[in-house]
Amino acid sequence: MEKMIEAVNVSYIYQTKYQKTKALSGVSCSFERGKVYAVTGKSGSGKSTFLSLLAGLDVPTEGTLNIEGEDMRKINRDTYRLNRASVIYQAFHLFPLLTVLENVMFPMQLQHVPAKQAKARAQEYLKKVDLPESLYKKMPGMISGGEQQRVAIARAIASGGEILLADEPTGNLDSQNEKVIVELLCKLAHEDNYAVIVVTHNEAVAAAADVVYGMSDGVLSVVRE
Amino acid sequence: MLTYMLYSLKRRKAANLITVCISFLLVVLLNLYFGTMHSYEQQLHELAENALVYGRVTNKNGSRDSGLFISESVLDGLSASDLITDESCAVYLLAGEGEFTQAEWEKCVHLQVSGVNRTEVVDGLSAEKIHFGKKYDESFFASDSLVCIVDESVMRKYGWETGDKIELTMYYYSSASELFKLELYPLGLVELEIVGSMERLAGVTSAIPPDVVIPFEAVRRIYHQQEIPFFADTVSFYVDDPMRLNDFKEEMRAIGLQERDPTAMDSYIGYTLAVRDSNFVTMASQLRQSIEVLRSFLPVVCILIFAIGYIVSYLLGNGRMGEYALLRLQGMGSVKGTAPFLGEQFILILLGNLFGNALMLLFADSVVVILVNGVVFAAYGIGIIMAYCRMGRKSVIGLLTVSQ
Repeated sequence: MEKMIEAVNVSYIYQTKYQKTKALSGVSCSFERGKVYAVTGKSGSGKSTFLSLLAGLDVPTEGTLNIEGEDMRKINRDTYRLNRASVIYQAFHLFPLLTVLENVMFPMQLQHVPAKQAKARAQEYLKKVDLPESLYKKMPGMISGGEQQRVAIARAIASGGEILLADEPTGNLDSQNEKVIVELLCKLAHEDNYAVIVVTHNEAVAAAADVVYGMSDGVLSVVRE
Repeated sequence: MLTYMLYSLKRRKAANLITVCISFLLVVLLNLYFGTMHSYEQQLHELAENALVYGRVTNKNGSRDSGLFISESVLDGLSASDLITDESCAVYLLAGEGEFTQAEWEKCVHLQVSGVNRTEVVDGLSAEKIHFGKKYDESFFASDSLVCIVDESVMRKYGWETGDKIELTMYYYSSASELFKLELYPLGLVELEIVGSMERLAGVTSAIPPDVVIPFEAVRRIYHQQEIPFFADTVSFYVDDPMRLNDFKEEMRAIGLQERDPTAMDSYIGYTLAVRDSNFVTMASQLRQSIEVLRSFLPVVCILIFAIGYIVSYLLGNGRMGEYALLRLQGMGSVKGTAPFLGEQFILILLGNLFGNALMLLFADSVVVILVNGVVFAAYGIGIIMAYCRMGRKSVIGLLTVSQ
């Protein structure tokens, strides 16, 4: 299968005025559509940094990160996040001033999808993540954590991209909601052909993944393929 | 971007209201500041128009301002100056009716004659008290024709009528060889046409009223015809533009008028300038000082407004870093990601300004209101832009990690 993302010898150094910290060291791996990848490791091992690079929030200090053969440094990373890659976080990161429906419509509004069409599609995505219609007009702060994470997933798929990045998506959820979210992510990979990359230290989430990488002190290794 | 800004404007009611109120208060306070400055400037401008600065020619020690010898060069210099207005000149003569010999002068010279260029120069005389014949009006005083107006009682005494031509033998004062002593010298026989009469002035003022009034320039003409050096007795005027008082004094020096010296000896020579400008100078200095003080605060005021704009936006921006990171995460660039916050702030200031302007237009000058808006938008605006530029430089990774 075609490589969606390929990391070649990627290193990343956090640099402040006073010190340098090497967060990633010589990471090489690839990600394909239709699969769920889990990157596991302890806190501070560099897995979230790796996910941020995959999201195009920064570029590697060394090495290359190719998106369908194109070097991440040469593409417009804002456009990349707008159209191709979406990220969900443990803290959900929904817009606090927008309703559930408006949050899901937002990426489409940025893509200049007409309002009516965006609304219809947003409702469709919210149905896909099994969110009751009664919650559509609620503000994010008024719904539960599991519901918020489902809204975040609906917003992620609303951008129409093919890469879904998740940073500890079940970290703030109970076991029942965790199961629902993991099933959703797997469904998106296996049925809708997304490349789903999940950073987690939750073993249950890792167990559901097709491929598991381990990260330790910035070095990536294959745990299960 | 616009949609997000509108949602934010609609849903952050309390924070937005506070921002509008800050902007409103700034506009009101700035209006008070600029309004005061503008008011002082207007007062200064009006002072120049309303506070008349009176000047006159005196002798060296300033003790005399009439009965002087004021040379033609000074008169010509004053007439040519653009910096003075309403110049009043007078020359005083004595006269007797008809022709008589030098030996008879004490018996025959009974008429006080004044050569003046304006009605007001004659103490107690006004336009209503003069009754011109058909040919003349107020322009009489600017004429150099050999015409005169005569006191009604004198006309009755001599049996003169308006329109009559009379002959007067005139005498002028000149300084004698001895110090401080005046002597009379004959100016010659002059034929004058009576073109009007004036109501009796005796008793109206303490000064001895003239029996005959002749245009000042006509008297000067008579002197020239007789080839006698002409001197005016009294010259006074107003400074046209008191704001140019220094230019005026410089010009007066150039035409030969000196500064008063109270220690100088008494004399009849008029070559000293006396200006009643102390009130004007005091008031103008006070106003100028107040304006200067207010103006000196302007940079501080601008910095203060900038600081308020910066601090308010900094604090608001700090509370919205998460939203900014989310916008960036959704694919908005740093400029586009900052724009909704910046736009929102400007809309709120605009609203505050509108309310403030609406209120202040009831009291303040529109010039002041425009000035205030300019300062608020410039100083406050720069503060906001700088605060949000800081937001644009923040690391999205850092912001998202912190909020986890």
